[in-house]
Amino acid sequence: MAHARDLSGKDKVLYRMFEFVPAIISWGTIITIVLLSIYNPTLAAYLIIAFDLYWLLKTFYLSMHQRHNWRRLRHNMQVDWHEMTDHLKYEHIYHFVILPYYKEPEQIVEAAVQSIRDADYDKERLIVTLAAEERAGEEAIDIAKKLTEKYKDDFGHIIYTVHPKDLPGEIKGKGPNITYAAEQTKRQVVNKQHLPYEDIIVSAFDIDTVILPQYFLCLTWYFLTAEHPHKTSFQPVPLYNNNIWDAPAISRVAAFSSTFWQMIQQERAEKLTTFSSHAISFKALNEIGFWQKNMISDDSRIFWNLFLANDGDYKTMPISYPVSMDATTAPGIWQTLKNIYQQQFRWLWGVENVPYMLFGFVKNKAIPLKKRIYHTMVQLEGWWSLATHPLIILLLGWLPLVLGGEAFRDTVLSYNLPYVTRNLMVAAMLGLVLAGAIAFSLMPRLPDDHPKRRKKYFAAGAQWLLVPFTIVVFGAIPGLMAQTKLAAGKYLGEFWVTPKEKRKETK
Amino acid sequence: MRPLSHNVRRRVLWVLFAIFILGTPLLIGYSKGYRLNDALGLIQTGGVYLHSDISNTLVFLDDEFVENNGAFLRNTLIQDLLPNRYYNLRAQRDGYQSWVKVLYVEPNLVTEARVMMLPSEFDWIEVPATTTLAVTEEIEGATSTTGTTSPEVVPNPEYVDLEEYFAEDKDQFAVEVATSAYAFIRGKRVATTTTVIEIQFPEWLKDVASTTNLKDKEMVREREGIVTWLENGDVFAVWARPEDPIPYFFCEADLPCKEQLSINWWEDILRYEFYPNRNDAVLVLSERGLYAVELDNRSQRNIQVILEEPNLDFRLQGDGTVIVFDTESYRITSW
Repeated sequence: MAHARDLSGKDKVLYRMFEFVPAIISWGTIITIVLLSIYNPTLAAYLIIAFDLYWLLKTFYLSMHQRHNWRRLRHNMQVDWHEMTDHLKYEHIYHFVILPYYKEPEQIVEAAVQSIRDADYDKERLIVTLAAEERAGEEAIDIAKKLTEKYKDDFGHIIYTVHPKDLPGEIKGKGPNITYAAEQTKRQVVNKQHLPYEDIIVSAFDIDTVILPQYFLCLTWYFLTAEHPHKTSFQPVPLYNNNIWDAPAISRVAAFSSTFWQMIQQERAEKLTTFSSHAISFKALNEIGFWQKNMISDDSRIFWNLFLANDGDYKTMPISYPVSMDATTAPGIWQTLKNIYQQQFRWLWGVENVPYMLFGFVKNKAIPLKKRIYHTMVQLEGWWSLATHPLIILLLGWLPLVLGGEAFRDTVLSYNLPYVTRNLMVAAMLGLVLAGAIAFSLMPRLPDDHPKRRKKYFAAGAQWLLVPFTIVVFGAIPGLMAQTKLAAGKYLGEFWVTPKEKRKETK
Repeated sequence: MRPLSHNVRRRVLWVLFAIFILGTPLLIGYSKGYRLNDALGLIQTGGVYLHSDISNTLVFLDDEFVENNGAFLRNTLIQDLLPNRYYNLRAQRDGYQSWVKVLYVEPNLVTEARVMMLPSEFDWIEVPATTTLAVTEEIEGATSTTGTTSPEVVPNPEYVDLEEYFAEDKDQFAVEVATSAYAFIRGKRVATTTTVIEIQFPEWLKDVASTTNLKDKEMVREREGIVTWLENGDVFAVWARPEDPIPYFFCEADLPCKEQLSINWWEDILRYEFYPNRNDAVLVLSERGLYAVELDNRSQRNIQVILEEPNLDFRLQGDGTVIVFDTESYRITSW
C-alpha cells in the first residue's frame, strides 16, 4: 500500500491518523511558539534560548560526524579495492545496474553507461538495463536501442526495457519503471542464464549517476563482508559534481546540503535509510517484488519495505564511497530556483514513509519493541527538525519581541534574547566554515588556465552565506508543505522528474 | 577505516547533554540579568537603553565612558547595572549640544530614553524681503546704442512665497466645510456657497477629544498617538491610544504613569510643533527664542537652543526644515 486510500475499515482510519502525525508535530510546534510568544513571552524566550543552545550543540555533534565521514570518504577513495577484494572470493558476484530515465538527453544516459563500462570489474559480470518509459515517446526508446547496440560488447548483458504507460495501480514515476526493468531483466537474463539470485547486487541508479572506476569493487567488498548481505542495503555518498561548476551558487549549496546530510548519516548507520542511487541484493528485492509502484519515494520506501518484511532484521550499510550526479540547473536563475524547490519537495515527500512505518510497526509485532520505538523517534525527530528548526532559528526566535507586549519588551530578558540568539547562531555558523572547506575539497579542481577560476573559487566560498536562506526556502518550507499535503490526503500522483540540461564540454 | 565508533559518539553525546542541562539554566539566568555580586551572591541587575538618531556619540554613565555608539547601530544598551538606584546618563559629540538624563534602574527591567542632540551651531539660509538686481538701461544715440548697468532693489520672490506660507498657517485638524445658502432673486433660485474652517478630529480620537475638551484648545497636534495642545501659554500632552501601552516617558519608577505631561515656563509659549519624526519632543517658541524640548520630564528636561532671539515666528515643514521669521527676514535651516 502507498497511502490510507489503499486500505479500508479500521486499517484505513489508523493509517490516516498516522498521516497526520508529522504535520501535527511540526505545526503544533510553530503554533505553540506563536501562542506562547503572545500569552507567555517569558516562557517562549526560555524555550528559544534552550533551543538555541540545543541547536549549537547539535551542530557540533553533527559536524563531528561529517568530518569523520569526510576522512573516511577520502580514505575509501584512495584504497585499492582490487587489493581489498583479492582477499575475498568475489568472482561469482554479478552487478545488475538499472538506469531508469524519462526524457533526459542522450548525452546524460550515455555518460552513465560509459562510467559503468569504464568500471574496474569483470565486464562479463555486469548486467545493465536501460529502463525507458513509453510515455516519454519514441525518442527515449531510440536512445535505449542505440546505446544497447553500441555497448553490447562491453557488458555481459545490456538490455533495454520500455515501461508501458498507464498500467493500472501505478503512478507516473521511477518506482514502476525500475520494478518493470528488474522483472524484465529477471526473465530475460537472470532466469535464462540461471544466475543465482543471491550472487546479484542490484544498483538502482538515477540516470545522471556517474561512478568511479572502483565503485563496484568497493560495493562488492562491503557486500561480501556484511554480516547479513541479503538483509542489508548499501548506500554510497551522493555528490553532485557532474556539473557543479556550471550550477549557480544556490544550487551548489542545496546540492551540498543533501550530500552533507548523507555524510552525517553514513556515520550514524543505525539511522540510515536508502536514498537516491543505492544497492540491494537481488534476492532481497525479489522476495518483496522489487520497488513499490504506487508511490513517489521509492528509494527510501524500499528500505522500509525490507525492514518490515524482515521483521526489523534489516539495515542500511554506509559504504562511504561517492557516486556523482548532477546539481540542479536550468536556463535562468528563477527556473533554477523553481527546479530546486520542486526537487527538494519531492525528496521531502519522503515523509509519506512515516505513516507506512508506523502502520507497519503496529501490525508487525515480530519487530522488537525497542527497535520500533527507536525508529519512530528517529523518524519523527528528523521530519520535525527539518520542517521547524530553520524557522525557529531564523524567524520564530524573534516572535516574543514582536508579540510579547510592552511589559515583556521592557525586561532585561527581552533585550538579551536577540543577543543570546545571535551569538549562539554565529557560533553554530562557524560549522559552515568547516562545511565550506569539506565541500571545496570534494569539488573537482578547475584547470589553472580556466578564465573564471578565481571568481568561481571565490563564489564557492561565499556561497555558504546563502545557507540561512536555503534551509528555510528549500528545507523548512517544502518540508512543511509536504507534511501538510500528506495530512490533507493530497497525495502526489506523479514523480516530478528533475530536468537535466546537457552538460558543458569543459568543466 | 572504520565509522565513528559508538563509544565515542555516546561519550560526546553525554558530554553535550550535560552541557545542555547545565548551560540552559545558566544562559536563561544570564539573559534575565542575574549576576554574581562581590560577595558571590546572586542579584538581578537591570539596564538602560538609549535610542539615538545621532551617530558617533560618546555615552557616559555616572561620568564614566561607556561606548561610542558607532555609525550604524546608534542605540546603546547598558547592562549589568545594580538595581534600585539612579544613574546619570550623558551623550555628547563635538559640534552638538549634550544630552543628559538621570534614570532609575529596576531589577529585570530596562529603562529607556531617547537621546536628543541638536547641533551647537546651525547653518541658516537668510531670505531677505528685497533683493538687488543689476538692471541695464540702453540709450540710443545718433550713431550707436550705449548701455548703463545700475543696481535696483526689488521684492524677493522667495520672501513673498514664504510670507504666503506663513499666512496660511492651517491647523492639523482643520478642514474646509462648504455651506450653501439659496435665495430667490427676481424669481430665480440662486445659490451662495461659503467656506468655513472647522476643527474635526478623527473617529479614534473622539474619546480623548471629549475628555480633554480639545475643540477649545489652541494648536492641537497629534503624532503616533500623542496629542498635544497649547493652553494658557503652556504645552500639554496626553496619550490618545488607551488600548496600546503608554510610552515609557509618561512613567517613572514605582509611580503610576502620568496621564498628562506639560511644558509650563514662566513666559508664555507662543507656538510649538512636534520635533521632526519624533513624538517625544517638540519645538517650542517663546519670547526668548526657539528651542527643542523633550516631553520626557523624568529628571531634568533637556532643552536645546535652535535660535535665541526675541520676536520670532516659525514653521516646520514636513521634511524637517525649520523656517524662522524675525520680523525682517526669513531664515531657513535643517539638521
